[in-house]
Amino acid sequence: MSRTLVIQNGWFENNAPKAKLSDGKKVFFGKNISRKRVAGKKESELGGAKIKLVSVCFVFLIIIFLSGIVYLYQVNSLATQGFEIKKIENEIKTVEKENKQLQIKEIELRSMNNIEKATEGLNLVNSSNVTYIEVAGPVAMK
Amino acid sequence: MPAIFGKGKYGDFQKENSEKSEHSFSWRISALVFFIFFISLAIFFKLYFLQVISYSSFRALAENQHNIFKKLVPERGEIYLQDKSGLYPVAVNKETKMAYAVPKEVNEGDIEKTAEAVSQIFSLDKVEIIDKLSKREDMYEVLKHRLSDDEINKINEANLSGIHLTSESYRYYPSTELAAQLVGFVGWSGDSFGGRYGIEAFSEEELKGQEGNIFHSRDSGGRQIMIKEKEVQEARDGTDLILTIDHIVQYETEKILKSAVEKFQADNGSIIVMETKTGKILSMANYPTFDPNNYAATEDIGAYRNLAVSSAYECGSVFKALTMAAGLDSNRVAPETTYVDSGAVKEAGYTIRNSDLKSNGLQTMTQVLENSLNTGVIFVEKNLGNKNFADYVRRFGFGELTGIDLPGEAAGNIRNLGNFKSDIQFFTASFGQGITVTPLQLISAYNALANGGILMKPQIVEKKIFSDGSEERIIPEEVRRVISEKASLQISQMLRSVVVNGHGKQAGVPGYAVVGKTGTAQVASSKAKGYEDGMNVGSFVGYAPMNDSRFTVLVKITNPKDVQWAESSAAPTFGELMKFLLEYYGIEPTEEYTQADLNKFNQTHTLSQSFLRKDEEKEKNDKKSEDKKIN
Repeated sequence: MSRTLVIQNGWFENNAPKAKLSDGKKVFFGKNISRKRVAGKKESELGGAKIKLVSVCFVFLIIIFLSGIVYLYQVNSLATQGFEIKKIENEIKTVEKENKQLQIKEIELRSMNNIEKATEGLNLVNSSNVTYIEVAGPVAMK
Repeated sequence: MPAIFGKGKYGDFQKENSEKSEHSFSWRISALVFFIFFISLAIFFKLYFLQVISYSSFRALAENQHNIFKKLVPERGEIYLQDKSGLYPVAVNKETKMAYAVPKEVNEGDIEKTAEAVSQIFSLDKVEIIDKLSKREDMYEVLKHRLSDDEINKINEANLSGIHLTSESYRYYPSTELAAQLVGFVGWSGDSFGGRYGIEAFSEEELKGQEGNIFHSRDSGGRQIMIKEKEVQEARDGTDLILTIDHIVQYETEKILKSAVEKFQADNGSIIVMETKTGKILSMANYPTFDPNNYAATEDIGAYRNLAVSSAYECGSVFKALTMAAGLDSNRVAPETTYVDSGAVKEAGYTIRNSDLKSNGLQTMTQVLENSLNTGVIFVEKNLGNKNFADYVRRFGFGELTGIDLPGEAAGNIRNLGNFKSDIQFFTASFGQGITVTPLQLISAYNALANGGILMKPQIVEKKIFSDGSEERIIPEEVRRVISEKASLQISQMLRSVVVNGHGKQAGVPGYAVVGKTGTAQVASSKAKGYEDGMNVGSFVGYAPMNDSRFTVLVKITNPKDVQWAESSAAPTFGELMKFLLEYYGIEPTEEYTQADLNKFNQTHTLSQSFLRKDEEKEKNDKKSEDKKIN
């Protein structure tokens, strides 16, 4: 007995889980029927679920591979930046140290001992008389 | 079609078998795919977690490892003085180089040559360096600490094998001796390293900061579990302290004091300058002093002590002003109250005479201070009564610590005022003998006279700057009112009379109403009962300008030679310093004066001019010793 599976438009429209046979009998769209129907056909025409799973895995493997590359790049980049930061930090430290040394030098030069010593050669005279002027009225003084 | 899908006897069987194996193969592939899928998913999520979610924490952890030691050691807080242009650091952390040798890196044949070069660059003994370089088994031999820039350059140029430099940080005092006893120094005491003497010691906890900590998880054997997270508690840097001291005033004070001690060949001397309204210390100097950068070289470690706060002494006649103030405040005497000075008071078998051994007849209370009459203040004390007098002495702050932020403060000794029946103790205390006071207590009490009768707590720290940048300004503190404002005005006028007409003439400054009192005290014998022969302490305490006092100054000269009275030692020292203060702060003159007055003052007050800096002093001494050799 030869049977032909006809899938009518209505099947899709109604989205019913059953098929209608040409002799008018109705059967369920079972797995066995499906398997018999696909035997001997091309792999590309095989069931969609199997192909999709492999593709998904393949995609995942690619993602992992790419993630690995990105990871390596990031690690490398971080390490380079880390060295760069370290280098700049060292430069900051050096400049800070120099700054501190200069500040100390400035303090030493500002000490009264040094100022007095420096004025010796200038033949300066102590002020012996300080005069205070009286300002009458609102005068802006600068 | 033959083979698997062919028809025939075995065709169906093969087909069935093939279907079964395909089914099994498909299942295994699916399982494997799922397995790889889940593993991949797990790895993906872990990577996502590590790289994205925990990125910042891992980065911080990595940085912590880099800087871990830096973060565990706090930086000591620095100490600043002030001047008109801002802050002046007086104790800083300086980083420099230290030279060390690794003996085994020096070829045996080169030891002599290396030692020669090193000894020349570092000015060290060559034999000593050869000894160090010959210790082949030693990994490390220190050659010299705190190298100068010149030494660092020279040793780098020499490029000697086995000689290395490393960084070291130490406490540096850029102004060397300036305020040395006040600031103190940092050094070892037994096993502990920290502040010794001065503010460095008193504020040790604040200055040193808080060391950091690392908390590790440990296994059952007590070993650190390295992969476990460790918690790093960062170090907290020390607090910076800004003192009330003005560095210019401090320098001038030290300069004048040094000249005075040398001129009068005194054992030592102390000067304190206090801002009248606030009790802030503007300068505090002691001589002899020391260089805190090289404190170990100090011959007499007594120089480390801040005598202005830690040395209690019998102050003598300067105390009379306080007895008189107590009498005025309690209305027992007035400036014009009179008494008859017979020249001596007899009590309990003792005869107390005036310092000039004269009897002056009828005298007012003002004259009592002008002529510094012992019998006069005994008269005031008798009127006050022993208990009342003792109460005033305590209210002026004697016998207790002032609470200044400096270590080693002495409270003085007023135990002799405990027995109210022993009049003789009260009589002698009325003119500053038989009780001991510190210069700081004395200037605080005088400051109360200048400040309308209110005693201020002496203040040395102006501001604290914490490591997080926040600041705390210390507010001047009133201790109590000791005498009324009226009594303070009266005593000020009487003390003005001392400077104009009495023993304090040399303390006067042309153009300003300077007030104050001299005191020449006997020194209690450390070996026997009574006083040392020929020893005295000259003091002058006063303030200016009289009606709106800005500065209270105390000068103490211990055991001056060839000078009998404080009016010739402490008083001119006071006058010279007070003139500087009034001019430096631009205080307008309050009195009429002439150029002749100024010229006379400049001729008699020459301490500042006779000051010799340390290098000049060294030159002078070297020249002297050379001259001796020639002769």
